[in-house]
Amino acid sequence: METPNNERGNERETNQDDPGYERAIHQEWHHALDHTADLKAAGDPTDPTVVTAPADTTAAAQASPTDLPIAPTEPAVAPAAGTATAVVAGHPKHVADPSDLVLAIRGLRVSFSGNEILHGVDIDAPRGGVVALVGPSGCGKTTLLRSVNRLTELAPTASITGEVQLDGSNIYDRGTDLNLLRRRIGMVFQQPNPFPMTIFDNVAFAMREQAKSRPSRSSLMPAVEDVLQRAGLWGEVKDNLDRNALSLSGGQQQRLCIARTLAAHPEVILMDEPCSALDPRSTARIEELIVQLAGSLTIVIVTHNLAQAKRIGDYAAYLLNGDLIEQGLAEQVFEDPREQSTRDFVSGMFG
Amino acid sequence: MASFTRPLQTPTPQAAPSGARADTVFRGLVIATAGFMLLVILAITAFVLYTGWPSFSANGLAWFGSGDQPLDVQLGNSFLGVPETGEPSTALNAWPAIVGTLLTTGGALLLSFPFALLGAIFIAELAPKRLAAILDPIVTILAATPSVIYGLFAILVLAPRIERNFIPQQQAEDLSAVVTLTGANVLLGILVLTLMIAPLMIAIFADALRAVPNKWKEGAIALGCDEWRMTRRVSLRAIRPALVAGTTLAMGRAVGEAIALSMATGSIGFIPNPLDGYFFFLEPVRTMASSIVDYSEGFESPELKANLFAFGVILLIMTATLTIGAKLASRSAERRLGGDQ
Repeated sequence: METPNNERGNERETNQDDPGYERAIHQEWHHALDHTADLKAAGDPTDPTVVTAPADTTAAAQASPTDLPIAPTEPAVAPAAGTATAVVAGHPKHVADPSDLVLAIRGLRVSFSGNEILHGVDIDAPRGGVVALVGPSGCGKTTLLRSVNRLTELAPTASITGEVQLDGSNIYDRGTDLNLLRRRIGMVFQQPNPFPMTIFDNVAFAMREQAKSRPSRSSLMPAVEDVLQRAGLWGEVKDNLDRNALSLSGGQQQRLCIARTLAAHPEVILMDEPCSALDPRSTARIEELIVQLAGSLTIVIVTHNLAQAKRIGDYAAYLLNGDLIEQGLAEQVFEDPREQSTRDFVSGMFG
Repeated sequence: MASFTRPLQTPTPQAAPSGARADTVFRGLVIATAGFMLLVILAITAFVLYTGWPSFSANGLAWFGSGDQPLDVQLGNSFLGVPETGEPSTALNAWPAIVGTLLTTGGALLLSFPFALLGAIFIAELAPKRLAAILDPIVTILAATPSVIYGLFAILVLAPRIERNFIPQQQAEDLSAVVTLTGANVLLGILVLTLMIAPLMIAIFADALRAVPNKWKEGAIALGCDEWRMTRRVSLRAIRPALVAGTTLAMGRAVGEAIALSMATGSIGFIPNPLDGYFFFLEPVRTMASSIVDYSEGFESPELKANLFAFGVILLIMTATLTIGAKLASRSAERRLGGDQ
């Protein structure tokens, strides 16, 4: 699957404009690549190089010379960056304040043609964390995820009640700007879905969409480079930005989709089994990326893969037949579940 | 353990050879049919070239120019004979017919492409399901309607209205020394061609739009595009090959259209004069294809036959160039993208 180009991705030359950022990423890369199997260790709060990486990434993103009228997202990452080193032991490293919920889903009920899929689900997503939604097939995980950026209602038979609060305001309130909402809450799909255009155009898609007048390529380039860097794809594609995105491997396509989503400056990224169509090596790179992005963003990820949920999740929620059975710190849900049903699931007895 | 191997055994000995024989026969049939088609096409091309050649060799490059004599006089001469000698002549300056074909085809394409694109977007993306279910078969029927029906519609319904509303009596009299203005003219030719090719384009564009994978549409919506922007930025980009293919097909139909244009354009070998202002569009033309139809009774004259088949040669070359050009254009567009799909 992976092209030989991938190897070049690791040998990136130092960026003259911002050496600190580049070095941090560089260290992070090698660190993560050396221990791809042990991503929890890569996220160890006592390891200073790792903790500072997301903060620096964020700073670079905000300092990037872009004159585009970007969606009015708050710099939600600032507190997480400032307090990252002072995280209380036992809390997930990315999360500054577990009570600071960027997303709060309350009593969400979804039915299609009268057939109820979700029976009133509550989910908390603390700012900066990685929330893993797990459960057997057909339990409503994907429907739940798609209700957070209001994609569910594209199906004419869908009916939705309950609340999804983004920074305290309900996204189902009348008058919500759907396009703005979907920029604040980005989504990465199960099947990599780059558009049939060049790599550059894919990444620049959201930027051009948000710009008032058509921005020039050179004015977009710094931002395109920045998000491709953050998605860990720059080294592989920097000489081929005008290649058709569909000619990339599956794993590269998925990282391109992540870059494309990052370009809209989201506060939350929803990921719907982003690795299920990928080989193990590509999966490891995406997981790495998720761990790197957490902190500056909140990630809600649906996964079938329990090991993956354990590796990357700060929090976990277990759904069964449209009901939330249990949620909490990933460690607690997987190692010491409160409910027997969760225990059965995480121990591999079913699902 | 042994029982598991049973289903993996090869089929019974009789089945294999008979199946293989059927495959061979089928493959042979397919190859033979394809070869026969190719032969027929080559034979037609060779026949048309051979029959039309005397016209080109007699006229040289002047064939493509505009001469002193009107096209209709020349075609009449190659049939009835030159007035002075009574001998039929192959003398032909075909520029008026070439202009007629280019004008009607070009005008119809310019008019129908935006119309067809918007129509296809409406049917495929915007229209409620029930309305789309009604419009769909209507478009298909319109695309398949015989051209003579469009010709009748043009001459019986549209032509009188154009004549009444767009041609002032005074102007028509002023120009009557040069050409007679009637309701059948370039404008009507363009309109009837548009009516014919737009449904074809709508059908092809709408099918392509419906085939755009949902994952691309959802991807665009999830990036904060509304449906209209999604269609513009992603779907229209994805269906570019279909836009090229549909337009080429429509162009082929327009270039080769004979009957309907023979009825609608006035069928006079006249070159509309741009200096006449908007009367340019009210002046008659005669296309190459309708010249063939209009004079087909005179085929027993070898001179006329050569002249009409020479039109056929040009039409063949034009359509072949269009098809190959469109193929190359879409392929080079893909190569520029660097795609390998």
